Amino acid sequence: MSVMMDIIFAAFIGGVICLIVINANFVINETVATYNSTVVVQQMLIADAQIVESEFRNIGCGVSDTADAKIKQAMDTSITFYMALRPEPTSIPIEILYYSGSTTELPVTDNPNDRYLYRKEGNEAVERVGIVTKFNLAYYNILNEIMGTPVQDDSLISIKLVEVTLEVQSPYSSYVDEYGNKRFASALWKQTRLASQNLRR
Amino acid sequence: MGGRASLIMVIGFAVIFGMINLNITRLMNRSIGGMVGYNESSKSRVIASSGAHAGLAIFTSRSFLRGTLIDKDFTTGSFTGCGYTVTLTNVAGYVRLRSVGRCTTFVKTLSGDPYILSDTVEIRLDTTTTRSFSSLGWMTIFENGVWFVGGDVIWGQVHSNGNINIYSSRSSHPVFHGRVTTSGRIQLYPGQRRDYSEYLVGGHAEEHMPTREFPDEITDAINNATNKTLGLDGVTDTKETEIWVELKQGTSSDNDGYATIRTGSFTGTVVDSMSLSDVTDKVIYSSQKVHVKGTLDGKLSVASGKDVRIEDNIVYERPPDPDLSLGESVNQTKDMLGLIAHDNVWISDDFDGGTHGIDIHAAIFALEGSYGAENVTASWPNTRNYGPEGTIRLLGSVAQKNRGAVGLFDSRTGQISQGFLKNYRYDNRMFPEGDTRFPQDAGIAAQYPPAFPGWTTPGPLAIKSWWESSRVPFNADEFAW
Repeated sequence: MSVMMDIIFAAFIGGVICLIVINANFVINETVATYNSTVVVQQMLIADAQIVESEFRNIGCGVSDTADAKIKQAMDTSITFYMALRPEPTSIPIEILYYSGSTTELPVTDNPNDRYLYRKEGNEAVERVGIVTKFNLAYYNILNEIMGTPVQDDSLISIKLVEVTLEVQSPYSSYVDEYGNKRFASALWKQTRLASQNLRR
Repeated sequence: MGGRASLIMVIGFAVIFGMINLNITRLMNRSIGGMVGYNESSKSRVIASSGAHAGLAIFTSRSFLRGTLIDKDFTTGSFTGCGYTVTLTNVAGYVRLRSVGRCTTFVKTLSGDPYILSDTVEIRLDTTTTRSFSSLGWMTIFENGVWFVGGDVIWGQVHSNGNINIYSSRSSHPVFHGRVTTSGRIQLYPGQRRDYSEYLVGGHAEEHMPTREFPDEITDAINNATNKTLGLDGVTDTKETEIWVELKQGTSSDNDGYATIRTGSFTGTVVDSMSLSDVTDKVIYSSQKVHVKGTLDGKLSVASGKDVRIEDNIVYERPPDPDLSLGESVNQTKDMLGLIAHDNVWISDDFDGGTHGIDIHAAIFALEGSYGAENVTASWPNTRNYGPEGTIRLLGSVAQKNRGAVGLFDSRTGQISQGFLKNYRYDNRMFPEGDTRFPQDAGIAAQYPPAFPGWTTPGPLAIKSWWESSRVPFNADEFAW
């Protein structure tokens, strides 16, 4: 009898331990997946943000103050501006275009909202800067008033600040919530007062 | 048996979960590493930008400074471990202000070294707005303990980077007819009352003003020299020889003046002759001493890589009248002379005008030395043995690095014992707005002697372009977390 009891209790304790280990394995896997997604997403976001920020700070560099607007076109998801890539006067200002593409361009990923962020330099081919889920732009004049988009041609010269909102989500879902929705690791970067020193002040 | 197995099992689980926890913690650190890295790189960019703004502030007030303006490291506050180096450099066609920031981050590279971020801000400055030092009636960098005394009369704006020393007696005191500014203070002789308002006629005094800096070289005068490198004798390079320049007015008409350049003395071999006019700027330069005297008809600057020695009166054929508005016909004269020396502008100790003093119509600039009477402070007996020599009747302006003396005074009487008194009339044509007596002259363009040194100031479009270096995205995987 006691042997039977030992076997039953041993099986019970063994089962509990197995359940704990299996559960722990699930939790660890989910945690690692979440953190891994977060790491990947944040690295993607920082890379995109630093590229965008570095370039937007130089809007108008090398462009004469007597020239027309240093920003050629200002829309809520795209911007075209002129800047010299180097500080030397021999570096001729070129046209730079940033815009976010369509979500249909990335059908292979889990995430229905991700899209490419594109950059075009002069007549060069379009290049992909990164993958984002949001690339929104807002423009402020010298009175700190937000300007409607698209900014009219005659108002482009009044742009003093550019507000950039970038959101990056993981291409594949980290987990599925209780309602069956796929959840993605997400990171948001918002540069609320990005001012180029070359814009008229 | 069972107890030992339990213990092994518990320890085994603890080790396994400990390792898992360690890895998860590392992953958590990496997950925030991107943002931390972004913050660090933002700090680096901000510090470079701060350096640029600090450099601009210095450039605004001391626009002639070049080289390293600031080299600063922060040891306290939120920018501890950060610093910047700001340099200002002349580049063909513009001035470049470069601020290089550095920030020691708290992360370490995989090899264990502190990771230092560096950003650069480069600003191209437009410096087309140039003002000549002749726009000041009197300017010195160092006063050298020389005094303004009773009998001295100074017109035009006065500025010194050092203390301005004033001595007055019961019967007389110096008089300033324009605005007086000093980067130091106005210093009266010990025991004299500190009420210098009686010295200021039509102007006011301001102390502790920003300093004004001299340029490094008299480059414009050198580059614009129009005298011959191969003299009329076929041998002499007049730009590399000690020369004697005599100014001749020609007839009483305008535009027929000329300058004769000789070697050895004013009666020596003629090596160059230069016609002068009201419309063409001419510059005579030699890297050696230049002696000068005569009557000028036209626009000219005489420059030396060493000393300019005034050997006798130097006057304009048609001098302006500073007591009248520039609109008056007498002030339509274009005669204008600049005396520019790398070292000193001396009233030669060979000149002896008795007690009649000397007339000098010129804007004077001494880059590294002084304007003064040669050897006037030498103790008796000396080669010149100055007595009271009368008054220097200057019509023009004076800018010098180290103030030189033109006379010595007796501190008991305040009277000149040897050398000259000063009567310095500012030539209002050089800065019409500096003479507040004639508001109708406002807006008239200032005239400067040819190639006269000046200082640059940023104009309304001072910043031609502002460039910031691009940040290579901060890769958290390259660091130890």
